[in-house]
Amino acid sequence: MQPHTDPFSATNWSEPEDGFSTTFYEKYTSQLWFPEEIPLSNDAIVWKSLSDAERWTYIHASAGLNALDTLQGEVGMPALRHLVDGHIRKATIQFQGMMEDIHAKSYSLMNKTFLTTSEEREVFEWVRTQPQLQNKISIIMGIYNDPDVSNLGLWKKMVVSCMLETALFYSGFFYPLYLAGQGRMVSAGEIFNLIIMDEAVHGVYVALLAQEKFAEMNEAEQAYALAWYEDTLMRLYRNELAYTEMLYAEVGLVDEVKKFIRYNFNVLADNLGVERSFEDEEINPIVRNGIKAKGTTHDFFSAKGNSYSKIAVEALTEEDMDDIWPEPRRVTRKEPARTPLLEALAHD
Amino acid sequence: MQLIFDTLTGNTRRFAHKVADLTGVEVVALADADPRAPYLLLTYTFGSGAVPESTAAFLGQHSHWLRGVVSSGSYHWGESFGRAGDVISAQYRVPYVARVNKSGNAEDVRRVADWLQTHAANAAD
Ligand SMILES: Cc1cc2nc3c(=O)[nH]c(=O)nc-3n(C[C@H](O)[C@H](O)[C@H](O)COP(=O)(O)O)c2cc1C
Ligand SMILES: [Fe+2]
Ligand SMILES: [Fe+2]
Repeated sequence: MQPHTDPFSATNWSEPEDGFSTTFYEKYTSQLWFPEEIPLSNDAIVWKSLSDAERWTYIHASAGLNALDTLQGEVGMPALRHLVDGHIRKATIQFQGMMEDIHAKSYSLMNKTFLTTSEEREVFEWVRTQPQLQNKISIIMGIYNDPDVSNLGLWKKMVVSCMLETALFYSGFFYPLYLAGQGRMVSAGEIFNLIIMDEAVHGVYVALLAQEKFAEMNEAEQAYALAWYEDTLMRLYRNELAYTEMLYAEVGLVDEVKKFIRYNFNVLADNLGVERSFEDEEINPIVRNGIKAKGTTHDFFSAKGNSYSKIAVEALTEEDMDDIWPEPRRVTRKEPARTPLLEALAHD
Repeated sequence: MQLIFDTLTGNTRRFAHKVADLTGVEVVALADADPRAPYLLLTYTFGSGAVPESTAAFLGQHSHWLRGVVSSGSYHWGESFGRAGDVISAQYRVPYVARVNKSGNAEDVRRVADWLQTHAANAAD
């Protein structure tokens, strides 16, 4: 760490650094959710009715996603936060990193709910030894750790973050959406949908920052950057095809998953404002149904995600205060009902 | 007929230009638009299925010549995918011409081009 020479400033939310980061920050805080809020007990029963092959694909797809979210939370977001300018941008990316850790915990909670301890260990060991998964991680990690922090270097880091969240996660997302689209494992499906919503916004935000960096490059740098993009994308795409063949062969969905991956690589291109890499294709209708089937199982939370949002906070008014503490201005006011905690404190 | 677009990250602008390339219809950014003749509005969906504030403010002043709406969105939003178009279509009683994922595909471009053509033919009647 170098000692800083400029005076250190505070975060001024009244004079934002750009026209959009505050909106994203507020979007993140308002859609914050925790996996413990979505009970998986119904799915634990459904889980037992799945075939061995179905269970295998489901849990290994999730475990792979856990590793990638761990990578984003632990390496990707800290790297970007360190390198972007602006307190609000840094705060937004840091919040994003925390969301990644929450995603990773969701996957782990699913393992805990559905698997025996020895099955759980097997899955975590699989993550450490699965070649395509480790290859994907090391390609992305290599870019995050690349000492090049020029505009181009930073753009690359933003781009691999987007590649991960907007395209490479989807080999894992396919299966839970496919089952949820048939009304199976719908509570876990809800968690996947919340994660997908988060990633959809992350992907737009980091891509906006990347577009800005790209615009700051000169023509030669831009040409180099686009060639690097195509090359890296194809490397990751080929790896993803092999990963998909391994993960989905037994459940007979390899081609459908490959289509979904290409579709999402095109979404990535749109977010970054570059040419799409693949031909137009449709999303599998059952998967589309799995994305739509939200907020159906847990009405209490049905306001979060696309429909689930933290209860909007309004400033308290005088009347609200009166409701909370009846007649607050009277000196001898009515004692509030004592909770066990108050009771204990009163006796101290 | 004009194509008037609003955009945050560029998808709606790129889609509008793809339609213009195919049809030759003029494209204007919402910030520069002051419509005096029929136009197709192209916007995106924000918030949770919401119309962007800039679009809503524009429509508050310029809904008279609005003839149809296109909304970009992203499929991840499920039921709220491209809902800004549903909202505008219901509020101003104009057709929802196309619900487009991000910057749209060739079929989306064709659908909007066909609508423009039909609309021009009907207007000439
Ligand atoms: C904070 C945020 C909220 C969004 N909400 C929705 C939504 O409710 N429905 C939808 O279809 N798309 C939603 N989107 C996706 C955008 O509509 C989509 O990326 C669109 O292509 C943006 O258009 P533009 O690039 O022209 O700005 C949202 C995006 C962001 C960043
Ligand atoms: Fe994540
Ligand atoms: Fe993310």
